[in-house]
Amino acid sequence: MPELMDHRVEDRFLAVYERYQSLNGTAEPLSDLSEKAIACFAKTGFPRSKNESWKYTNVTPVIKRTYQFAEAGPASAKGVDTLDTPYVAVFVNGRFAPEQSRLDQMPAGVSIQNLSAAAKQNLVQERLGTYADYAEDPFAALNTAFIKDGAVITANPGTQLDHPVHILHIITCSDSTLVQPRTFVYAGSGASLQILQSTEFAGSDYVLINAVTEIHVEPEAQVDHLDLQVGTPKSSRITNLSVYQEAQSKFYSGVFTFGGELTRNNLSILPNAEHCESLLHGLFMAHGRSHIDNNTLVDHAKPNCYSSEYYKGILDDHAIGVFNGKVLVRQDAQLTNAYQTNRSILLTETARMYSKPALEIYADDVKCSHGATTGQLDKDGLFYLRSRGIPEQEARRLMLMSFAGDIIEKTPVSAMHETLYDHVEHMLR
Amino acid sequence: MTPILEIRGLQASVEDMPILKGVDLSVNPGEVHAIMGPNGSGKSTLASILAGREDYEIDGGTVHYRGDDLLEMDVDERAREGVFLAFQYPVELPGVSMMNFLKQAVNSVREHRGQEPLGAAALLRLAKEKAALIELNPRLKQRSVNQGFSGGEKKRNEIFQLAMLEPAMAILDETDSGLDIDALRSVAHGVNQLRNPDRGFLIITHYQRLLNYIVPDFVHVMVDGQIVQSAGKELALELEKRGYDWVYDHISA
Ligand SMILES: Nc1ncnc2c1ncn2[C@@H]1O[C@H](COP(=O)(O)OP(=O)(O)OP(=O)(O)O)[C@@H](O)[C@H]1O
Ligand SMILES: [Mg+2]
Repeated sequence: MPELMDHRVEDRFLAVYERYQSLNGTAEPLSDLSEKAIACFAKTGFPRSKNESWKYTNVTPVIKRTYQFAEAGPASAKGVDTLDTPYVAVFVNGRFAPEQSRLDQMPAGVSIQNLSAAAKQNLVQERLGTYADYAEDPFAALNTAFIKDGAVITANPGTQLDHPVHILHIITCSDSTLVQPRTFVYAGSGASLQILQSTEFAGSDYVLINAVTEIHVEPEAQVDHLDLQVGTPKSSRITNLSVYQEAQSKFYSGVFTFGGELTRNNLSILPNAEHCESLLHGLFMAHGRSHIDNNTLVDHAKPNCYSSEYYKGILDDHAIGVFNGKVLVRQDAQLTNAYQTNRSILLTETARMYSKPALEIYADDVKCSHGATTGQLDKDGLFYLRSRGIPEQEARRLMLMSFAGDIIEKTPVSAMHETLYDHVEHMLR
Repeated sequence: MTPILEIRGLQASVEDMPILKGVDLSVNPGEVHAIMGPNGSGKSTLASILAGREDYEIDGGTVHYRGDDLLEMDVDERAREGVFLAFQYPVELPGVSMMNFLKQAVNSVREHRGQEPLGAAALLRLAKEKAALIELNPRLKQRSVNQGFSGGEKKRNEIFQLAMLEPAMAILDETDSGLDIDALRSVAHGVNQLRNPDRGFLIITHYQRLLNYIVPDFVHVMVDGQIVQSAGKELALELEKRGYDWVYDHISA
């Protein structure tokens, strides 16, 4: 009977869609996209465990809950902690909150707008939804079907943003809620910008966040994107981050996940021209029964590109970590340099890590490597520290801080170093 | 006078394989003891057990440190009480910065002694002074602990930490191996500076050379988990000349 039950879950979402369309409906010009997406969702349905890329992550319990579809909630999240930057876009329960955003100081050539307004632009109409694979990914489809608000960031050719943009999502709902943030970034030739996305939970009930971010990086542009997720035992999050790179562009992704009930971060990068550089860094820390799954794809389609992936995790209690990293080097992509590493530390006998780095290479002249290690905290290191008088707890903390610090130190979004260290420190307590 | 270290009939094993088979050794304040002996005879095992490594089963005997049962103490407690081991193979700790490490170590020990913790500036001053004493490359203080240090730099770093922590009982496990002639001389000079009437040294070495610089009060020979011979500094010279066969003959005689 489980099959039947699963079907009903999808039907519930489809019914909500029908009702949603008959009430307010998706506004032009996004309605076409929305309809295509819901049709795809109806076809694919939610992933089952048979699906290889969801083998270790069972979303059913999270999906099965009844969620309110978030509407403009009470936007009174005062005293929110934003990054020290003049550029902040705030979304409350997925809805744009202009009163709390700080966007008036944006330099010429760079703009942040709410999607419902920006959707009229040709650039957005032509490109929105073309990077996130909603035909295949049911979560991207669900997000796209209900598309409405979101952050649209465009940087004209040659513009350099002096501070990061902080896209802050605040969740205030008191009933269990589904929130579907959407972000679209277009960096023109030679532009450079940094973006931080983070979420604050002020609500008390279950929350499912289903986020989609699409980033287009034009030639010689550079985008750094940092995703910070500090979860609660009642928050789950599915993200789809899709990146498209043009020639000689640079892209950095930092995915920092601390706790949360269930997290699935999909990251897919397509360097579709020569001499692209892509860095994929991640740090995940979990305790209790937290489950964090990072699923990445770098699709090298053209020659002379460089990608380096480095994910680290610390798992305590009964936490589960999953790392599925695929690097695809297509036949044309000669002289690709692609590296991939995943290192995890299990602090208990009951914590689990499923790590599957994978290289799929069809070109013959490439330099690629991958590796994964999962183990306990280095016993000899611990002994060395303790033999100098450092108490065991402190010695463990020192070692774990430096293990995690490795990923923090490498983030080019230096404004975040201290905050990230604070979160690591907090998780270790 | 209470000895700093008093080992009586110490027996220890790993997975039912006996390694130490009854070791007796006393170190009084101010004394320098050297332990020599062939590879695999149990010298490092003894040092590790004194420092508190838990890989070994203690099958018999006692160890007292300034009158207290040392084997009852935790690793870090021993260090705070003043037992220091300079490792034969110091561990690399990527990402743990030297200064942060020194700060934690020095202040843990100071707190235990009822002293005020050192602030960053005072710690740096102390580190400079001690690094100069054993001629440690000052740039190493900016790096991660032992990471990418050369063999000799690692050994010097051990003695540097000894100087920083000022233990009552210092155990040096083959600190001289891997040091070039100049490094050996400067490390020995550092150790000699650290000799004082309250401090005991236990120096494990294979070479008489080191003992030319650090002149021991006693030399012991360990063979197959036991101390088979003890004498003054001249024993080291004798060993250098005649090799361990001479000791074996002695025992069987
Ligand atoms: N943790 C361990 N597990 C298994 N065997 C061990 C362990 N520690 C020591 N041994 C064994 O005990 C014996 C003594 O080793 P130890 O390192 O104490 O010798 P040593 O006298 O320091 O030798 P060297 O002069 O080569 O440094 C060796 O046979 C060694 O293999
Ligand atoms: Mg040894």
